[in-house]
Amino acid sequence: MPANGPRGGGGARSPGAPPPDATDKPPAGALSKGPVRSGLRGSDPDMLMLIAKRLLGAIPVLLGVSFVVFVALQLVPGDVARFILGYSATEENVQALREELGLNRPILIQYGIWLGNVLSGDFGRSIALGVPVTTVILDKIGASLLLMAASLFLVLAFGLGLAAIAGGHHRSKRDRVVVLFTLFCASMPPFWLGIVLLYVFGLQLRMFPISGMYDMANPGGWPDVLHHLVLPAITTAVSSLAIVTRVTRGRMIDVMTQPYILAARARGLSERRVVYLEAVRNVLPTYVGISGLQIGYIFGNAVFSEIVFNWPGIGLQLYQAIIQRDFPVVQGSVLAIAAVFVIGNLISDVLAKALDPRRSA
Amino acid sequence: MRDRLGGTGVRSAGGSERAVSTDPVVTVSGLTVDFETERGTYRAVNDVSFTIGRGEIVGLVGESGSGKSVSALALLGLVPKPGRLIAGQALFDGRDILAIPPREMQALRGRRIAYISQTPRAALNPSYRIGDQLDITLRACAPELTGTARSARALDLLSLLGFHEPARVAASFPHQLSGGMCQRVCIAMALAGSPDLLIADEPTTALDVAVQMQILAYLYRLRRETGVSILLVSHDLALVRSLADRVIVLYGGEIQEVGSVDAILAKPFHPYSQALLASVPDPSRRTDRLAYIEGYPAPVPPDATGCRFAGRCAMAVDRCRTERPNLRPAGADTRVRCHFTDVEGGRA
Ligand SMILES: Nc1ncnc2c1ncn2[C@@H]1O[C@H](COP(=O)(O)OP(=O)(O)OP(=O)(O)O)[C@@H](O)[C@H]1O
Ligand SMILES: [Mg+2]
Repeated sequence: MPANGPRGGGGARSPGAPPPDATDKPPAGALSKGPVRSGLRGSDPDMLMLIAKRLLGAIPVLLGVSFVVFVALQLVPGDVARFILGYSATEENVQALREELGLNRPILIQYGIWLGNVLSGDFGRSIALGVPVTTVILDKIGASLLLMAASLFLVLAFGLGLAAIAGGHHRSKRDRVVVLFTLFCASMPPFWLGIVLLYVFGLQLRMFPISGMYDMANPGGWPDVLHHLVLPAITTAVSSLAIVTRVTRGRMIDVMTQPYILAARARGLSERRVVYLEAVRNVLPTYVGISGLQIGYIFGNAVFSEIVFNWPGIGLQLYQAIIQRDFPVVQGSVLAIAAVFVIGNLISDVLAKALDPRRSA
Repeated sequence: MRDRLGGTGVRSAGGSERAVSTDPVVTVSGLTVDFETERGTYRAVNDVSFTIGRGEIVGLVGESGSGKSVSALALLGLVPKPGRLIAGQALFDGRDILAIPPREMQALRGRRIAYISQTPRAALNPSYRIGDQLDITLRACAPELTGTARSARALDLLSLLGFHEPARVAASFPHQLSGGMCQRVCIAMALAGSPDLLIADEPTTALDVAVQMQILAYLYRLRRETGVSILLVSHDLALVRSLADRVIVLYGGEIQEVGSVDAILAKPFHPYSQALLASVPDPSRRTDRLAYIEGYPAPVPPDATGCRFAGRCAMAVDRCRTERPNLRPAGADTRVRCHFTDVEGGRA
């Protein structure tokens, strides 16, 4: 504005003219599709592209994982056929079994045969159990998914809640308590934590059962299962909870310094609304993203919990299969775990994108 | 007096008509704010006193770092961390709003004292639609309204700010709007509680010139139609000249000169005001050089003595560096903090 602006009079210009109609329209293109109707648009073509891309990207991941495991299993000391037949078996019998299992062929050929079978839906048979691997996996995966879901629920609910409480009141007493709690959780190996929980709450306090999914003597439906679920779920969740809380709290602290938070306070919003309405909404993409990354860790930790608490899931099955040199089951289980991991990450990516209204069109 | 918004300017020529009563809406005295950083304590605002009359527009000018925003936010009870209110009083409605409990201050914000910021887009929550943000604001500022009344009021406010399709704007996210539209939305939100005092912190800095004028026109019309008082924070003297009744010149956290805008801009006493005025580009006098003030403002510790401007002042003498000048009358309508204004308002 010139120094001798409107005050200088003289009607030189009319800078205070009413807003031209054109400026009422958002900038070109911004609203050409009309205002976005919902934060979660299912049929968004960008979203479908994202999903398609991620599914395509999953193929090399699954191939790589299965190949690495295949090779790793070859490196396990000891002969599988000898292990299966026992040490009293004759050399001829062992050789015959090796031939039957295809163990004498080059490893790439073995992998190729296995892959071909998998692609046609045949995961092979369990050496130890004699039933198809698919049967074993389908039998166990439900229990694992239940444990994972319960753990994920703990991570999601407490992660966001603790992060909001702590980050929304940075450097307050509650913040310090939460930070201490996450430090404590992060430094807790799940295997060790499982044993501690089992000892304290299972054996000493007798608050929770220590083994399995049902009470053998007196099975009681869902309440019974949930009761059995508590300790394994906590064991599985704790380290991921620490990570999700820490990362989300960091983002929360960042959000709390943004101008729109000051503006919200200046508009007279209560501190509670400022934190839990204005700020928390903006940490959701970060929170969902980091939680999605935890799905893999949760599955990994679930293996430990299943072993400690004898939870009849795929992790326990995998553990037993490794001990028994039941390679088809190991292969199938690993593939199933990898698939769950990929799908979990895909879901969280799609959600995180959908939660960010500024996502590029 | 003819004063149409689309007329000759934001305010009509002359600008002598003043619907301003002498009844102050807020009386600030001795406002002092320190910042405690790792590198020491700095005084961002020192002993600032002023009043804003009902329906008055007061300009608060000064270059970057002079303490304008901190002073403005202090009036909202929102001194940014690590700042600390050291002293001061702000009488609003007979109460010292710098001393009332946080809950009561929160009740005043938005409803009685509103704020619009320098960064309109950043002042809107990126994750909520405009309509939802207006609704959240109205919930806080006008709790008596029910759900449907709130939506209607939200659209009214948007129409008031010149949006011809308020429903469409309400359904948009901030990133879908231009900067000027965001600022109009922010003003609409500031008006949600029908405030008595509007604190506008550089409301047009982030906007291009045409949109700046539009926003200023709205502020000016707003004052005329609602009688709201406005504290207009700016580093732009020209902008303040076009809108304000009185002006406060801030430097180094201290008021250097205060008075009616006509008096100060016609004949500034303080060397800093003079320099500030000289640095406003004047298209009627075309020169190759733009005037500017040598140096930059340095942060001052709480126990600093002398005139804050002495280090950059062309007229400074030894006394300026050791003895802090008082704010004293100079001319009919002005008060100046300068040792050179001793003699009957003239320069010695
Ligand atoms: N967050 C902070 N941390 C430390 N010091 C600060 C902080 N905010 C402000 N200050 C101090 O307060 C002084 C005044 O800052 P303020 O933001 O009020 O300046 P301003 O006049 O609004 O400048 P601008 O025109 O750049 O907005 C600064 O010089 C700085 O020393
Ligand atoms: Mg500022």
